[in-house]
Amino acid sequence: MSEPTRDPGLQPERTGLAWSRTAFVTLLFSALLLRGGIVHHEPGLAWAGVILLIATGALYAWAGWRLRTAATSALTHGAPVTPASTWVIRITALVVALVGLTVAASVLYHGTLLAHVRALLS
Amino acid sequence: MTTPPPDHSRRRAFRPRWQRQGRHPDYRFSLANERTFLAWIRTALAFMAGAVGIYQFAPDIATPWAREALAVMLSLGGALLSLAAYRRWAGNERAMRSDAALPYTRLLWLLALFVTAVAVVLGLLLVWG
Repeated sequence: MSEPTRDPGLQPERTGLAWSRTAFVTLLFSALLLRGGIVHHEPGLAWAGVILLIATGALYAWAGWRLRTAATSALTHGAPVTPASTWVIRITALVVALVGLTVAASVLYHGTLLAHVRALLS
Repeated sequence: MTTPPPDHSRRRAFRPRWQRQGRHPDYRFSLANERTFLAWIRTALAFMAGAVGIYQFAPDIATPWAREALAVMLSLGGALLSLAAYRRWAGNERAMRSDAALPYTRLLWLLALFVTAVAVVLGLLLVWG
């Protein structure tokens, strides 16, 4: 019986590509945040952009690693959910959520929405 | 393929409790679950990019406070979606480990409702803002 060397459904490849696609989206979004934060003088947005840029590098590294190891070891071990992959997923969700909260906080802090609501209420 | 590999106890300590129950699902299902998580994450990122775009790069739409309200809505929606993505990933993985049915989610319905609300508000702003 020969050991299968390749998944006919190309699952590991598709997963690695999904990670690098996500990394590309964070790269674009961090460029948007950096430009918005610097041009419009909102340090919160710029810092969120810096953090997301660092996360982008880590995501690309992880995507490459996932592509290589998932392709070779998933078939032999059968368990792609490792402690490392669990933590990467957790940190990814957390960083994205924090960036979203930072954007909301920056809009409220620099904008006129809160003052407007206060004027409506009083 | 579904028998758990020999785990070193030191590594096992870092696993969440639910990952020590049941047995490993087919690796293809785990990888598909991971891609679904990433698709939700990209949706969340798109919401936030929309928020920044409306807030800073579309100064002609409506009054500032209305644009800001839309931006806050979108970015908070994106943050919630990101956390929901993790919850859903863990829930699916847990269900697959114990051969249970995948948890039913209202997330798609909520997402459709949310996007509709944002589109209606944006449309009203474009007409009257």
